[in-house]
Amino acid sequence: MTPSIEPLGDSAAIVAWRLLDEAAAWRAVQNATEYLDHNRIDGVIEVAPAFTSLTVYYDCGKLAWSQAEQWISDSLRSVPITLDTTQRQLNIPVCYDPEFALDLPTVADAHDLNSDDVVHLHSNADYVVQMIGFSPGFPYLAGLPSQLHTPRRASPRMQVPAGSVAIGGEQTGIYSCNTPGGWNIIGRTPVQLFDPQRDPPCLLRTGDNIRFVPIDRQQFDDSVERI
Amino acid sequence: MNRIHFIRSGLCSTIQDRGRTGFRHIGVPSGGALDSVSHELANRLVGNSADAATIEMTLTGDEIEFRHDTLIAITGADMAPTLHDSSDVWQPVAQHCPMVIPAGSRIRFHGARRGCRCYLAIAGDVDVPIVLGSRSTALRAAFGGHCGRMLTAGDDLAIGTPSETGRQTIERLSALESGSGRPVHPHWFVRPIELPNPDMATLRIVRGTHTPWLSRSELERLLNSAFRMSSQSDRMGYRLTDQRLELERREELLSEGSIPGTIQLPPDGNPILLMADCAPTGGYPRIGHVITADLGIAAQLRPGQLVRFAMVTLDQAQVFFRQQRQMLTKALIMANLMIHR
Repeated sequence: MTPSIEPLGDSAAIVAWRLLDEAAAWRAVQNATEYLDHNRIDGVIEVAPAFTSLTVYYDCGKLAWSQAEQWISDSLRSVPITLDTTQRQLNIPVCYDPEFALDLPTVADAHDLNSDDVVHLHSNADYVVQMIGFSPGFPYLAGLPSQLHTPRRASPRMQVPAGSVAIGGEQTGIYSCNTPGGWNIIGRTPVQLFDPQRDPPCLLRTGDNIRFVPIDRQQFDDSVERI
Repeated sequence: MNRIHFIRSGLCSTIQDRGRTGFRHIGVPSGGALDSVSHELANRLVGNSADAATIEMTLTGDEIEFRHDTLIAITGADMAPTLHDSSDVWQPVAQHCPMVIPAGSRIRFHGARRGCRCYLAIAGDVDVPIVLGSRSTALRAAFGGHCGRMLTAGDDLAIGTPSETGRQTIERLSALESGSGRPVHPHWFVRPIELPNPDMATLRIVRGTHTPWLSRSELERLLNSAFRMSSQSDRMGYRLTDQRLELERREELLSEGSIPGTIQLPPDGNPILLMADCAPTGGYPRIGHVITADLGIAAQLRPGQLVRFAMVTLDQAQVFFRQQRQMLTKALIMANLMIHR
């Protein structure tokens, strides 16, 4: 399936697999991103994946659109179909304590569940990191049980603390920095997802398999101290 | 080692360089000086490399004390800088040229009379750690620059050693008027790009993926009406008001790539112009993109002012960018000739 190549302003291009189903498009994006990024030519700055598309950033002082487009379409023909064998399994501890889980009652009420049910459902599912974005290190996770799909809050919070585990629509994610945010917060992890001084700075990679492991408040406080 | 000391700070002063590349896949914005032309000009006038950092001030400026004779250049918005000696006798400071500031004096940057962002380059570069390949301050994620935050009163920044070119410039300028205790500057300035019209600025745009979602009349409104820069405007993006645009289609989109210059249209109909600190991905329809050559003008827009958009083709946009690079190169060659003739 050939993807579409569209300009994104005058110095980037979006390569989108709009006709594939989301899972197939996502795999195509992962393959193509890796290949394009490893085979960059002079003038191509970086390649970054989204959900079903990727973005190629280029220097429009060095490459005209026609040259950028040509390089992308030529390169896409050479992308090998790789079987991903590098998927990692990570367990992320989450404390669902009411002090952190500001929207746990809202999520529970929305689905006629009690808070324990929400915690049980959320921590017994297998998730995959689909994309990292929004803020440095923020993972968008697929695999949220449909009983927990909850619309975003009508008005976003001005400040969501780093580590907050939240539900937004069909996805769950973890706020990696103190930022504004509109997702429903149901817990907090003591794990630091993004640290610019660490190499690599981002804990998670696209494609990682994630499980949430509930911890109590004491364990949370202990691990924060250790970090 | 040379140092500069912040006596007072402006509204939002940060250390910025050309920005970060290679980390957008983990959600890190490119960042960097919003008006990259003024930023680069300032650096090159003092003999710094293209990778050096400057201090970007927003709307109101800082008051900075210089411990040693220091070669600086001030570009971008006109903050009417004044130089104060130890007994607070003051005089106006030249802009858009290299200048040697005598040890012990202070420069006070005032409210911007024109434009929004002023750049201060210091020969030898600001000595702050490189984080993820850049010295730019990433305000939201709080890293880079000086402690990942805005500069504030009491801050003290180390300055590196001027380059060979910088040293030659200092010698040449000092020969003009040595030992007078006054700032030494030449009697010329370079300004390759004018500040935008404060009443009605024009930004050139190219089409976005979702421009066809605007009806013909809505597209005409995008191109023929004035938008107002709201006060909710910062390094991440500008909220534009006075006109609400409607799309013919309303679809939830999966997040896709964004770049500085992208004009998003959220459901409330007020467009958002993304700037250098924007997230690398976004989920709102993209109805256009301000061309790279006009991002420096966008950086100089002031909250409350009016702006309109003019459509150009992608080819034109890229030609305008290359012409702008050539203009900057020529201006720098001229400046160099004037200093070293």
